[in-house]
Amino acid sequence: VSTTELFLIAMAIIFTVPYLIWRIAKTDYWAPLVIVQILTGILLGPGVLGKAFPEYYAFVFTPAVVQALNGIAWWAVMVFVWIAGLELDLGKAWEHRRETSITAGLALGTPLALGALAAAALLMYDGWIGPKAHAWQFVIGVGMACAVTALPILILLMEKLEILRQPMGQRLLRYASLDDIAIWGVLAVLLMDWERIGKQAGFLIVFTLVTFAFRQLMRWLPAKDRWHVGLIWLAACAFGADWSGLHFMVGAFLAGAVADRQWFDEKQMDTLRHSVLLVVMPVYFLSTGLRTNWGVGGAAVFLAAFVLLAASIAGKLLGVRLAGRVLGWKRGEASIIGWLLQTKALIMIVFVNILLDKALITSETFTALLLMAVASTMLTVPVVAPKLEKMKSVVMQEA
Amino acid sequence: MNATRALILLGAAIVLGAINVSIAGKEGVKRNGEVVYLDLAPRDPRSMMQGDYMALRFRLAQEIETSLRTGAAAKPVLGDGETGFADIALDEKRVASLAKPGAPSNLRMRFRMRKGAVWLGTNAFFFEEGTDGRYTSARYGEFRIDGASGEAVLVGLRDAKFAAL
Repeated sequence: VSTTELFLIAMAIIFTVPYLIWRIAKTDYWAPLVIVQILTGILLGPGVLGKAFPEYYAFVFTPAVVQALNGIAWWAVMVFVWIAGLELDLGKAWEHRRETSITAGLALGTPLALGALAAAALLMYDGWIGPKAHAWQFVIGVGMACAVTALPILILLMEKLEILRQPMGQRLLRYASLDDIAIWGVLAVLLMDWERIGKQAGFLIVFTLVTFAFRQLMRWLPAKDRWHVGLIWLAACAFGADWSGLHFMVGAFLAGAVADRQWFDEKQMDTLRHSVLLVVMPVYFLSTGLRTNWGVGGAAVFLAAFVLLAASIAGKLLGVRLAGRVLGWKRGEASIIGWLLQTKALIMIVFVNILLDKALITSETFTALLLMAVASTMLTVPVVAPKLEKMKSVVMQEA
Repeated sequence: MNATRALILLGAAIVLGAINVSIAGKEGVKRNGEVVYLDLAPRDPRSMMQGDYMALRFRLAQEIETSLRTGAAAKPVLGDGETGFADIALDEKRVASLAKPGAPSNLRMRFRMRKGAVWLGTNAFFFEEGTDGRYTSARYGEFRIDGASGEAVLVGLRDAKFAAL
């Protein structure tokens, strides 16, 4: 069997298994397709199915096939994160800066603090801190993973709950946008490599200068050219970031964050996001699942995931509740906002993949964080939908 | 108490519980573990990120590295981040060295590979700013080892006469 044929077998598995589970088991309410795809990726990985059927695993996922899948996965997730960067709504965040900064700050700060405590607990055992991490990088990295809000999935969930275009949906976008910026900023600091600081500073200076030229060019270009130039810009920024020792995903996010979403047609943007999720992101989910590892023991991984989930949810709810107190929100409002903002999914998965790439966490920590992300996202709709039903007026509430 | 408040309290209790259980585990090793001294070669770099500390390097780590390189250990190849166990021998003062291959040993110490070097639980001893003079005579690291898991915890530094610093 040639590598091409094995690759196509792998692709058939990637697209068939999650779809069938999602469709036949009708999981959509508590587990949207993306979540099923991530869970399937974990199940198909070396820790579960690979352990039960090592021959199957060695036969299909040869190094050449994994390499080919990784290429697709890299580009898929770069485009996805670029769109996430484009979707930031910093103009609106600035218009409502007081309430946005208070809410986003507390919604990020408290889960970060609780997550850092959970990370400190993990630090006392072998097998969790990555071989290249300093203790502070591990603690902040895991803490930040607990504080992530996944903007793209939040948008999908809010569409599903029919609140995206309502005042509450717009408020959530502002909070999540600001948190997203903070998360990528912290990630850049975590990845700072003092031996390559010159290269990194050089990249950031060149990036800042070229951004001005890029923005002029995009304003000047007709709309039909902007998508093409946007993708060239994405590849160039990702290359620059990776070359300087920052991860290519940091470059992908920066490429999107400095672009204006008004340059692109909103419908086309929605279509592109849906298409990327449909056509190529499943490969990323599988390649993520292939990286899971249960080496410290299944029970330890689940226990760590549970503690991290507790830190993440309690931290987010507490932070938003405090913001609600300061800003005088209505009763129940903070709970809905807190539950929506604790959605982790894709951005956190990207985030922890980067921590693993840079050896700041081990693959066991990665697995625990992945399980935590899945659980956090699966909880969102079942918890929020009944709350929204009870409190319809809150959805129309301006801050 | 409403459900959200209960969840916040429960979540915080779980996290605080986890960290306290971890600390209690370490304290247990510190209290009940076997006392072992490791020869050290101190250096004292200062770090903006970590405050004042003494960077530690142990002779035992070097012995394990040599043994791994020459294939004398049971598991010669360990990847970055992987955990291994070293059988150790103690002299009459409880100073540890790597047990000779085949020699009886009733104590083993857990280590991890980090950046190609053997990591014995810690590579730094932190002290209060301005008290570094106190530690310049350090000659041994005092460890407590949990017999069952091989986990080692650094509890202090000793001088050449084994006096606590």
